[in-house]
Amino acid sequence: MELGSRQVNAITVVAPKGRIDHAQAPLFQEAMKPHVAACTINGGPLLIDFSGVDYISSMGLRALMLIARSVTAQKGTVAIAALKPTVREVLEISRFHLVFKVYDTVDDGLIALGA
Amino acid sequence: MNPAAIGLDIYMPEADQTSPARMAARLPESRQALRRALAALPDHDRVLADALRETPTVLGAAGFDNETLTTSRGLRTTPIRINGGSDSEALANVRRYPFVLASLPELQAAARGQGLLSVDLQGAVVRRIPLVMGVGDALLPSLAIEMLRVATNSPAAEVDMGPLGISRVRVADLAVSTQPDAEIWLHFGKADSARYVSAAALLAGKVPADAFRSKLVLIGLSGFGLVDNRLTPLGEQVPGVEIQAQLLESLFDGNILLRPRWMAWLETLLLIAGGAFLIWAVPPLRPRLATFLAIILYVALFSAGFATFKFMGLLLDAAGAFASLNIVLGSLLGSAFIESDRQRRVAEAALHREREAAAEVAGELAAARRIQLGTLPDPATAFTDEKRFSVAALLEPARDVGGDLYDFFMLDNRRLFFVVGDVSGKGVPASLFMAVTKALAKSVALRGEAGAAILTAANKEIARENPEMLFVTMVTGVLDAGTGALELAIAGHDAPRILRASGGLELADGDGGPPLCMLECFDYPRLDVQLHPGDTVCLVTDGVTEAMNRDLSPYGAGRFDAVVASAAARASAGSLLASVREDVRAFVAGAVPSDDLTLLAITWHGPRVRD
Repeated sequence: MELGSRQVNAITVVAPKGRIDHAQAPLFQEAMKPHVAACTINGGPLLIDFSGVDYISSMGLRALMLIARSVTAQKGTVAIAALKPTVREVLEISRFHLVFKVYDTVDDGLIALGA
Repeated sequence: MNPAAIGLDIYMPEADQTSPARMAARLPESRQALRRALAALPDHDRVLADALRETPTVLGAAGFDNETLTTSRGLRTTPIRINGGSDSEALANVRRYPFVLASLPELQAAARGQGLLSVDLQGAVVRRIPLVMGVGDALLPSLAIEMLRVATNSPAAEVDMGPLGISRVRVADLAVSTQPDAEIWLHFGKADSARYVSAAALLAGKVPADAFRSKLVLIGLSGFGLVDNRLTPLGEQVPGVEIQAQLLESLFDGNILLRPRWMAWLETLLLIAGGAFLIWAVPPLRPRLATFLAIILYVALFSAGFATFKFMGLLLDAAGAFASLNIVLGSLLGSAFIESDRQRRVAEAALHREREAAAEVAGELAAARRIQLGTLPDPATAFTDEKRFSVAALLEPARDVGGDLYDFFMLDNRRLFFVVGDVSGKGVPASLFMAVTKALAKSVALRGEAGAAILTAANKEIARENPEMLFVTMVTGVLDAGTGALELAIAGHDAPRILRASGGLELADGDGGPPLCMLECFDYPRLDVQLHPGDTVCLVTDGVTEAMNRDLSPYGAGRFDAVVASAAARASAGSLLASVREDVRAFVAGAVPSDDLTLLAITWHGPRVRD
């Protein structure tokens, strides 16, 4: 899976595209690995821009969960932003806001993370 | 007439029975006068001998392998001179006969020379003709060579020995290269009847006096019924004398075919080159193309053979090379066939093994499916005597096995526990975790925890044994069958639908928590709902709301709610479930299921006392 990634001050913004379904979830997880590894207590926060994601399955949620666990273990900071309505619904049902900080837009996220 | 030489292709081993003296001896005694008169006449054989003495005549003789009444062991000849070797060396190379059929000694003495007429046949055909042969321990010329010697008045014919045997036969200034056994390949022509002079015409004086002047003359027999008929390589039946004539002609013209020693090496080389070419070219080709290629090669081979024969007077054995190359081609095509047959068998065996393996996996998956579905309680038989509530449930894995689960059982006489869960992912990994989750949830529930606490405790238990980091969304509920009080707890799961008997549809989407295993120590909040008689609570997994059609558009929560609401009038768990199932099936319309699908519906009928 291709991840557009950019740097805003200390914050790394990654933007997955398309559907994070059963087949794509492992690829998403793999592509996120270097960014997750860099997201430590000393590294900058990680913001996942979901504006390009049309669908997320339970395996996609699992990938997000694993990202959250890794980052939490490293005492880093990760957040997601700009969810499409369908994806937002899935995340709300799954109560992912209890795991992730979720922002309405990327800019909101950047401001909140201290860019 | 003065011919150069006369050759007799006739054998005269016996005295003429028509000589006058012999005729007289057969007459009766009474014919004394006639007998005396006849006896006075000269003997025919003597007359012939006298005639032979007058002319340069060469008598024919024939080599015999077996002794007969008329054969002898030798005959009078002019010795042959041998250059570069001994008699025995020359004799070792030529065709030898122990016996010879020769003419009467009287005639032999009168003739100027004698030559052998013997020719061995190749098959039924005359191809090679020897110029020198052996009888006993004597080297003898053929009739043609002897005629040339007589015609040129030479003292002797000569034989040159080479490294391989006889290399040349020479008479006067004529030298003929031969095969090592003194044979030559005759370049046959068509028989020409114009060269024949009939004996009848000659005796009748119809032949001009100088017709034979300085010519080589052969006297022989021709005509039907002749024993001495020969087949030439051109397929012509000719009298033996014709072959002698053509031999003489060829000797003069130098028109002799040669098959030098190196020709055999050339043929071997051609065979190796052709064979190597076939071995190199044939295997990658299709049999049809390979055969076509071989035909081109054969045409080239025979063309070369014909060209060397026609223009160089050399004999190249194309047929031998053709036969050998055909064997090479045949074995190549044969081994190609064997190889392709072997590969086909290997492929078939591999396919067979694959099918067996697939069947084995399919068989195991089918067994796993039976076991998995068998662990789910059957609502039709679970509460046969229950009047206070009814339960309907459905679980359809997207694959053979799945990660969805439902369960329900009585905690005590009043309280019904039920659960619907969805393990992330699908297939075998999800199904294993589903089994663990279901068992742990049941053991926690039966431990005596109450309501939402069951979910909190189950979360801790399940999260502890989760190496693959799977997670489970889940809804648990405890229904008090006596009061209709329902205590729900939600872990990242779609909200339960409450279908009121009065017709309203409510979403129990209050507080909840994340899926199990997400946060290990999460205190799941309880969500209380009061049911009234006839109310139905409906739980689904996202296999329903996210069921995809072929265009990958989801079924959606909105359509699900609409179907549930419209089914209100029937107000029974079973019929509600059936109508949702039908609507989802109609929407998906045969697309491959994207996720496991689970429905659980419970209708509370009211606080009736159990029978």
